[in-house]
Amino acid sequence: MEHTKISTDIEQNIKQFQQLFADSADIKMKEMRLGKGKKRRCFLAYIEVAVSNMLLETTALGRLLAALSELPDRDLNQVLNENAMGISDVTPYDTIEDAAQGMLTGDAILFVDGYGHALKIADKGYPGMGVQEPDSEKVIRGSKEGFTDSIKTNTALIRKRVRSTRVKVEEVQEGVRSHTAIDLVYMADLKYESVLRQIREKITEYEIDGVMDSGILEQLAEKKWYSPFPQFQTTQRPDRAALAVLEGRIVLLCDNSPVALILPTDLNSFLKTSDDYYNRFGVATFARILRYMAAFFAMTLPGLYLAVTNFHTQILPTPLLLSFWEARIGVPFPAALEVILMEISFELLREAGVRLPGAMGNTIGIVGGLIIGQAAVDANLVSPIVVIVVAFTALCSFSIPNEEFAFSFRILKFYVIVLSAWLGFFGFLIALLTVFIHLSRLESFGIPYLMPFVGADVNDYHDERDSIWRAPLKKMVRRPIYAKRGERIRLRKK
Amino acid sequence: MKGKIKKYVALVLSVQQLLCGCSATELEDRCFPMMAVVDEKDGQIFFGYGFPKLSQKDNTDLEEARVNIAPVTGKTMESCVQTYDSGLEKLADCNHMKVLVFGENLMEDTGRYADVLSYLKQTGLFPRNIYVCVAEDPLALFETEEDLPQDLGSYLEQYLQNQESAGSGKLFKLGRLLDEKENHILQIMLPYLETEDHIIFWKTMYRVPDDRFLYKQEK
Amino acid sequence: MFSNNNRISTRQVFRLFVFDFVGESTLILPSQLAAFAGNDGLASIVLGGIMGSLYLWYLAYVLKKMETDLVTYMERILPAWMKKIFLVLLLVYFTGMAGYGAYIFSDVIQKGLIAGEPFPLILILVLLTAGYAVCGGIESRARVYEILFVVLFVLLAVMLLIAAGDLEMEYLYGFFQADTGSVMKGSLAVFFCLMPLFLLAFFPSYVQKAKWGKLVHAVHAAMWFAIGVLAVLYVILLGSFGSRSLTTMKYPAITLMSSIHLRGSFLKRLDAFMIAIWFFTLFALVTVFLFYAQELVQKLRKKDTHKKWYLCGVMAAVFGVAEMLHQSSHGEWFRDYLLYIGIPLFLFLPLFVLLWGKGKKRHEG
Repeated sequence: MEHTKISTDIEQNIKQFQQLFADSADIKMKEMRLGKGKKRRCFLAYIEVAVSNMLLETTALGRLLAALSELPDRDLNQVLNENAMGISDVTPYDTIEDAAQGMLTGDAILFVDGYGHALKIADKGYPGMGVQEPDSEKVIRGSKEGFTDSIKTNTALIRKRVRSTRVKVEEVQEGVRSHTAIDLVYMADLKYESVLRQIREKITEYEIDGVMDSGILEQLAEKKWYSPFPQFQTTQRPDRAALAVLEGRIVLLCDNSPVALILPTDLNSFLKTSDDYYNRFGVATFARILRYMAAFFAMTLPGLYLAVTNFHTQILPTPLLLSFWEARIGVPFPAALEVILMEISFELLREAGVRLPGAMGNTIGIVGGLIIGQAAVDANLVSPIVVIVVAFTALCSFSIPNEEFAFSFRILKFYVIVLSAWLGFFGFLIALLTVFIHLSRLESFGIPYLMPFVGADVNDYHDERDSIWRAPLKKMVRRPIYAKRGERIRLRKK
Repeated sequence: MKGKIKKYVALVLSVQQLLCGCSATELEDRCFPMMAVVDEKDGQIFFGYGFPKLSQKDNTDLEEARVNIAPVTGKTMESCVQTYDSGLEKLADCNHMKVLVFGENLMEDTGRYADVLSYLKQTGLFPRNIYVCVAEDPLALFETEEDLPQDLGSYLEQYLQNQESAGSGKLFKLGRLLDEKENHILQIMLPYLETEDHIIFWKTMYRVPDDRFLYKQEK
Repeated sequence: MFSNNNRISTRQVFRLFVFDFVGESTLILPSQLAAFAGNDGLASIVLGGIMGSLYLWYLAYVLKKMETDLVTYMERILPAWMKKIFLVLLLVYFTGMAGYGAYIFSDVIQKGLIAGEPFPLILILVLLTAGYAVCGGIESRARVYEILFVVLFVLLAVMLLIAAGDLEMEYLYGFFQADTGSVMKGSLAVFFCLMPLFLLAFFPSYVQKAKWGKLVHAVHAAMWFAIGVLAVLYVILLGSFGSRSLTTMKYPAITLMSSIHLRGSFLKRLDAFMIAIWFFTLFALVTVFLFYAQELVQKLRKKDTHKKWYLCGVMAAVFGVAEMLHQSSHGEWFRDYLLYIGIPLFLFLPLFVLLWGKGKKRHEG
């Protein structure tokens, strides 16, 4: 890209800037005069909604312009050079293109006649939502703050929680046309250099038009795109991201995205929540075990039901089996089709519930659950037990804290259903085994996905203290395997 | 090239799956006999099942849901089972069977009795953990079923379990019977069931003949 | 990072070997031991374990002298033609063992779970899954078994404890009645099921920087763990069925699972679930031999690029072996194969190669 140096002749700068932003009605350009004698021309360029009324004395831009208007002409250049107004966020640019990029970040650009730089002055910036509670990852105990669309705010939310000079924020720009800011946040003395190098390579590996969300980066950077399991952990919670940084992991923030990516990750991380660490170990352990069971049943329950009722009836007690038998009389569909239809109906309900606006989304539960489910049973289209199995499976999938991870189980559930319907418990075991094998081959930036259930000896089995159960906090003295060797102690008595 | 090979493999596997069919039988296409009776009559094996009582379901004819067929006779146990199964509309799933009742006539014919046991061992038709009893006339037991709150098989199972816990001692099950056919270590004593006024009772034990003459003794 | 360095830990070695030993031995040995030695089969198990220990000591000693795994040493020391012959024999051995494992596996599934399905279909699915596991390398397999170990053996322990409560004590009388010859036959049968010990010869390159002693200790511990499980299971089987009845059963452990009733439990019978134990252990056995067979083909062909084709070829051969075993009413040819190929390799090949190497060094020195 050509770089045009900023001229001291403001006419040239105006002409070039206007050329660059021709046909852009949202870009405002205002000529003004500065200095006591109102002889020095200046030119302000900004995005309309990103800059507040500049005459307001409370904004930096407004105060700068007001102050510059009072200065003698001869002092203007010096004041601008030395940032004598003491504005914290002023960036000088030497080229027209850099100035244009700076303006597109949401700030104002000031050109002054006779001054060979353009100044970027921060203002209110692009419109965005403020810090709110995240939609997902709700906790009972813990912070209620969530990430926003602004990368600056998000970085600040992490810094607020980890006030250390060793927290580094590396900025990269991605998107040939969007120039989206990407931040890599990590603890300099804890992270593995190889992991940082890998992620840097991964995010700069492709040239893409625009990066609208961290999800695009995730898909470009993951190794096994065909795996149903996510290889990056996602979070909307700053406290979760801060915890990850303290563990030696790297947090990837993307501008305009409230979802941060954490890497490396493993299966266990997806089943942990922030309040596991804020609650006492008994509560946390119970919740963890529940989630593991929920994850297992979310994938396997419908398949198990089919295997047991179609192949291995000896497993069920006789009264229960006979009641299943009676319930199925008159149902026109085979059990496998019944289960698949109910599962698909449920997925449709879930999808509809997400897409519908507020109040209507609440009624979908009533429509779906009571009316459709009950009506289907009354019409003998499905048996009541299948409705219970499907509903319980759904409940289990809702208990998985991470939505992307829960999706893996929702998808794999159909795989297990097909194999179990075809070959009974043998099919079920084959499905389970192939999933296991796939998980054992999966890794995230060098960390086996099945950590800490495998390879825990690398960290002297300390990682097992924070797996399916959570040890008392006083016993969790070591950082997990993500942290650099030699920097693993995180808790000690004074 | 790789893609083509993958397609062929997928095709072959799919075709094989289609040709092989599926051994799944839907729940509603099965029936669950709760007990079996085996006896000897006029030199032939006499065989039948007892089925559970089903509650009346709305919009379903009880006759449709219920399965019942008269006992059959045949030269061997195998032919009896095949004849009986062919008369059923649904697949007989014996996984929930609770009791097996042998007729006294069969017990007295040690050769026939051994053949029946061999067949049961070879095929694994009945679960190993079912109770085994002896009755003079097994069919007479079915006449008491009308007055029972549940099917005869379930009733007998509970009856025998209660007697076990009440101190009658551990009863032999089919598995032990089949094992003893080889081991010849234990003395097999089976409950001898009798009926009087449509009530089943058990007063005596029946000693399974082991190339010795048979006799009954007090339990 | 450590996830792809093709190394496994001694804990994983222990668990891998336990799976390899337990699957076949607990399934087919009890009826054979009962046929050979009756109640004295317990002595056969212990003796078999001792034989295994002696063999392990011998193998460990030879490999320590080699300072590397067997195949690498063969490549260094033996003339090319001899090396090829031995590699081919090893390949035949591993293919045969994988085929036998696959046959037992598919037979158990067909008899225990899905009687109506054809044997070839089950076999194909087993082999495809095994192929998928083998593609992931030794690390991936080790991770699967590392996780499954605790789940499966806790389950097995619980079931055996429950079964122990229902034993017929009269069946357990009558020890020290079999003659020495019968007991020795039984112990040989146990020793044959410990043939996966031979895989130690291939392990050194796959184990993380562990000292040699730790590796051998892990394998030794795995062997005695498996012997312990077998002994406990055998006693329970004797007490549940009696030795004579045991000889007539093909898979008495599966039959035992169908007889166990969990009082007060929601589930009526657990045999279908318990078959999962043998599902995973036999799967481990099939994959381990498949893995090494594929590695041997690669060594023979000296090409890394067609690894998946080698695997397919080996899987096809394993399918053939398993089908032949299924079709033939007697496994006599397999017994002959074990006697004339398997055992000599198992016993004599490491020593022969070591002595050849020493001779060569002396000659060169």
